[in-house]
Amino acid sequence: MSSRIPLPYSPKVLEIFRNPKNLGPLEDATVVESAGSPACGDMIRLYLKIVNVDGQDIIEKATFESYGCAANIAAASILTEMIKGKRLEDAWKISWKILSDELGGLPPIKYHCSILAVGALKRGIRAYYKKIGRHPDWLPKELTIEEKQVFEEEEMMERYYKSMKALGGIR
Amino acid sequence: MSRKVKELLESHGIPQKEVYFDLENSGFVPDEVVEAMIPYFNKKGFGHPSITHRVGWEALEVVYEAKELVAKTLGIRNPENIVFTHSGTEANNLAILGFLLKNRDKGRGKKVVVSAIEHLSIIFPARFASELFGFKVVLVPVDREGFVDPEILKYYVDKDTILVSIQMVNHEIGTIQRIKDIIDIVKSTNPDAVFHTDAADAYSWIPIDVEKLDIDMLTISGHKIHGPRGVGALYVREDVELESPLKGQLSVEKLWPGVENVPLIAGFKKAVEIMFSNFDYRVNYVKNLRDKLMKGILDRVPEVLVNGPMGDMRVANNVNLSFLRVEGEALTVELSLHGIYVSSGSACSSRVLEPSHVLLAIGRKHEEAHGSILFKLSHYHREEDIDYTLDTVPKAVERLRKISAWR
Amino acid sequence: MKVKELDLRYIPASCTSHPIIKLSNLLPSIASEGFDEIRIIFREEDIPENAMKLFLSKYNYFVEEVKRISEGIILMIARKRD
Repeated sequence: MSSRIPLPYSPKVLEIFRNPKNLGPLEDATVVESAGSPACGDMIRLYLKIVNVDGQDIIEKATFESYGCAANIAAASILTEMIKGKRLEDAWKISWKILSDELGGLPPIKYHCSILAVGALKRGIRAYYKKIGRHPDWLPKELTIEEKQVFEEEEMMERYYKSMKALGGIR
Repeated sequence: MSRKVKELLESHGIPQKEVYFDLENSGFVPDEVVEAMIPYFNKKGFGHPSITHRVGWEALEVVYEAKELVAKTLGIRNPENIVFTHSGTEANNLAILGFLLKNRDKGRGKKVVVSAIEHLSIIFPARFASELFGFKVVLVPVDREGFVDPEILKYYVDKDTILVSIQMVNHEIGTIQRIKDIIDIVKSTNPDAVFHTDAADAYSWIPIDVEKLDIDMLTISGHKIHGPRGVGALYVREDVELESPLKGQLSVEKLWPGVENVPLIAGFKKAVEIMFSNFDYRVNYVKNLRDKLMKGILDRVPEVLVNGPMGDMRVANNVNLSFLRVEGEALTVELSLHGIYVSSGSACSSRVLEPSHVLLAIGRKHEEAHGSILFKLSHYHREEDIDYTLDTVPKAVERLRKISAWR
Repeated sequence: MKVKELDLRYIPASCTSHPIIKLSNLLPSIASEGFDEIRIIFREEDIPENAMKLFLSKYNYFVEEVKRISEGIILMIARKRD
């Protein structure tokens, strides 16, 4: 098999893995966004119910589905806990590092799990604002690290399976 | 560092029932083997086998006995042609690097042919030597069950081929290569090409005779036969010359420096005795358990793919299945929580975040490879272990499928 | 006519992205998706011409054209035949 790397998960990861919170699709979700793909071996789908209270966009409910390793499942679950009740502006501030720390510190090779979860969240937030046709000042026009990385990983898989056009001069 | 692991273990707990299937990567050593080793740590033969005193000669005796026994089980005429190393990986490195080092002046233009599903301890040394000395390493493709087609192999072997290495049994998917046909094609196409085979997963599972098969070099591994980790061996035919990639003080072994690990070799010898004492009965026993496990899971769990062939061309102890819609590493953790210990060819369990090259080479799509689980069986497993596993696996897979984003 | 193009020249030779592994990995999918024609560009030193022809034939793709693009680089056009 492939070369292995030791993965000393923190007990937190195991705990959440055993008992994930906010699991499954959300009937009345405002937006549904995913990141990753089965080919990547890593995929998270986030369901967000967003309401506007006193002019603030708040995440009322968040649920998830996850295809991936134990860290991936734990990252998605704990993220949904962290963002419940938060304003979108505050939820946006959650970085992959903060998420990793919440999980007791992921082994570096598993950083991609928290990156994926945060990437899905950011996609969800952008999708919401696109849906309602607004663009708040705090929402950056440029993609964040997490979003870029997720995009790259998905792209890589796409390219692998799609045909690669032959270079000119061959026909 | 260790505190984190301690906390993890505490959190995990010890499940009431445990079944260890991860014999691919390591395994428990049976009591008889442990007992065979212990005296050589502190009671006798703890000397250096190349020093001329009684305690050294006692150690030497064990090394020679072990070689004689191994020679008998492999049809090797001269036991002195066996080199002990500390693992199958080292034996493979000695074979590949050792041969290419010896032939380094031939470097540019010369070819090394290996199968696409070899163990990394074959592929990486071959690549390494090619970078250093200019050899060309070519990979022979396999079919969807992992078989090397001798007719395709024929086109890879030519006058520039100096080394061919093709495993007898694949460590991951259990494919038993048609090794006689393969060697015949290689030798008839280029009689000067040296043929090495990694027999780590074949030894004690299929009959092997190096003379009859015309094998030039062969690797075996201790932990694969319920021996201790820390011992492996390479058979090198009389007329094949190697230069050891390792340098240092030599002892019994001219080709591998460092003191031989005599207690482990004593254990290895015992393991060989046990495995060969009732060969056919044991292999059949395990094969039946394998079939029960494989069929049982296929009957109870939907959307499962078998990796590797079924039936007699699959080694008796191997079950490798891809569970769709779940990821392998998550499944190994889930099963571990229920006391079932396996490993996975998924990307998330590998250092390079890529799924197993063996699974990709047999045409498994990435997502199929990610869901793979490897069970390795032995004659120490009982029916009830299989029954427990058949009870547990469906529930484990079901729970993860409920969580899964892949619908 | 469904045509699949595969360029196996510039794959970094990590253990899972070797040209042979990539070809072996994709071929079953290509065959099951019913492509009528495959065009493959590869280095001859990675896969001998005859080995490639025989390997493709196992998936019912038979080589009809072989062009040498440049030093050691071959383009093969294979068509499905049942």
